[in-house]
Amino acid sequence: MKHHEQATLVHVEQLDATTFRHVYAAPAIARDAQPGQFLHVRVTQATAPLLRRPISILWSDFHEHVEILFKVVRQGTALLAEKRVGERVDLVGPLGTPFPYDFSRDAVCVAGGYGIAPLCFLARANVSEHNRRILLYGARTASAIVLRPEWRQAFDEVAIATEDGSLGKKGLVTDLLRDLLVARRSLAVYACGPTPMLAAVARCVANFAEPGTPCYVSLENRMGCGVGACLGCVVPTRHGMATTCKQGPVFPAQEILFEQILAETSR
Amino acid sequence: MSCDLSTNVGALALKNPVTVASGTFGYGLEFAEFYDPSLLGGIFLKGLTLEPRAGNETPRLVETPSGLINSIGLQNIGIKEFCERKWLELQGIQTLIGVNISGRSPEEYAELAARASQVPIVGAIEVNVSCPNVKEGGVEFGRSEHHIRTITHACVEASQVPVIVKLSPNVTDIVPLAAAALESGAAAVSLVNTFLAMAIDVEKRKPVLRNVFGGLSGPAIKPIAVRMVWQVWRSLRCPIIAMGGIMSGTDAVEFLLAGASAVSVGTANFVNPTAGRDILRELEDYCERHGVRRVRELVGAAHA
Repeated sequence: MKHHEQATLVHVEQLDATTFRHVYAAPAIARDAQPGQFLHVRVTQATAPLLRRPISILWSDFHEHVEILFKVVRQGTALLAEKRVGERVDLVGPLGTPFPYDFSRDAVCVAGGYGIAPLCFLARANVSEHNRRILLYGARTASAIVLRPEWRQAFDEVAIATEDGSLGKKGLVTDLLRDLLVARRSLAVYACGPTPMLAAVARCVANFAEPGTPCYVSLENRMGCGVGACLGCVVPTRHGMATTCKQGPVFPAQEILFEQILAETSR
Repeated sequence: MSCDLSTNVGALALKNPVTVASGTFGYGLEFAEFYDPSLLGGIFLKGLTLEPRAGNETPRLVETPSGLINSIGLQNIGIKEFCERKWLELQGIQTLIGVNISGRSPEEYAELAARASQVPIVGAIEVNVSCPNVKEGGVEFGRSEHHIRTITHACVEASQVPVIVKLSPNVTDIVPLAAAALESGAAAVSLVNTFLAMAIDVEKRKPVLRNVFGGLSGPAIKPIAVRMVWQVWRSLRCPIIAMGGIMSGTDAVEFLLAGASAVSVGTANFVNPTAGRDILRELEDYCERHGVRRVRELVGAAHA
């Protein structure tokens, strides 16, 4: 169920110069939130910027509090970062289709940059004895790796790759993924990060995973309404255009026509 | 004292003047988890064409100061899917349902009007001669009095329900185009569709939208839309459904005072999922504060 709530900002944590974690008291949203879903955040009651900002849910206690992790990019996120504890924030959520989760397979969470947020939620919400949770986390450099201790605890294994080698293995997160897919069986892959990374994850799974390995990717896109009405955030899939906000943001990787998306964005 | 909110738009009786605009409310149920769409005075559904359309390539949206440029390109399920299946989902909605149609020729418009108006829940046909985002038809028809006459006449002949013509603001003088629609049998005109616009990414030195141009909506266009509604009412005293950046009840009042008999909430639905309901409440509050007994008293009242 979707809700429109005037939430209270109850906690702000600044993780680095441009990265913030917000905790909101938003009971209706918190109760219904599932990993992979997002909040549509109105950053101002004025009309500029006009649209809401879609931000992945980092955590919900399923009772009262819901958390997001965001980076200050432009005007909208800058306004959000200026909010102080006690302020009201206009939230719509939880929106979008969550990650399906398979306890019979070990979960390989592949995160790129801020893509860590929904994967932390996925792992923390599904801690169990039945399977292992493995985090493969990639970023350009060490300072872009955001991993608090309680997030790390949800994973049985954590491997990090940075492009400049400043933390973990030097290289791409898909290098870690390939090694894992070759070495192990009975895995399910869940990925969130920049679109080129997701495309690489999809290729990697297609080439190296045991046949039948599920792979779900969470896409990012410009959005209008957030509820499938405006058709502004569509992506090409094997079954035609699909809305990122409603039919996604989580899709089975093999459904997405990544080559078409990458060709469009590189123009 | 409670205000009588009912209004007439030509032959159409609406329970209140707040409707939602085509293209911003999906197929009627996308916002149903936030409020009951039956509260609205009417719902204009996402524009339909004869064949399903995949729409334009992305990016399709770009935000501008107090505005939004879109180039969706009429992505839709097609008239067949609507008439055979989609409408069944809308049977519970107790308000005027308007089907917005776009064709490439008068014959296509007539066929769309005929088929859509046979669906039991459909109370009005909104003829889109103003889409800025498609290559054939669309706004090119909307710039020509001759085409508006031909298309409106064809739709009125074919339709079993009242026909509303949605006009483009991308013209020098909108009044003769509104007159052409009304003289050809339209029950009302919808004013206005989006303004042709573009934005350039200065880092990439390229247009942001894949389609280069799109239609600008949102509060940025409101004063221009109010002016156009004013002009049409002043010349023609005709039924008008007004839209263009309505975000609040007082925005709606402004359009009513300019001459609209009803309004449509568009881009505001994206910003506030309960916009339609909230704007209706704010309109009621305005009427109470000002002792307005019948909302119809407001229509064109600023001209007095």
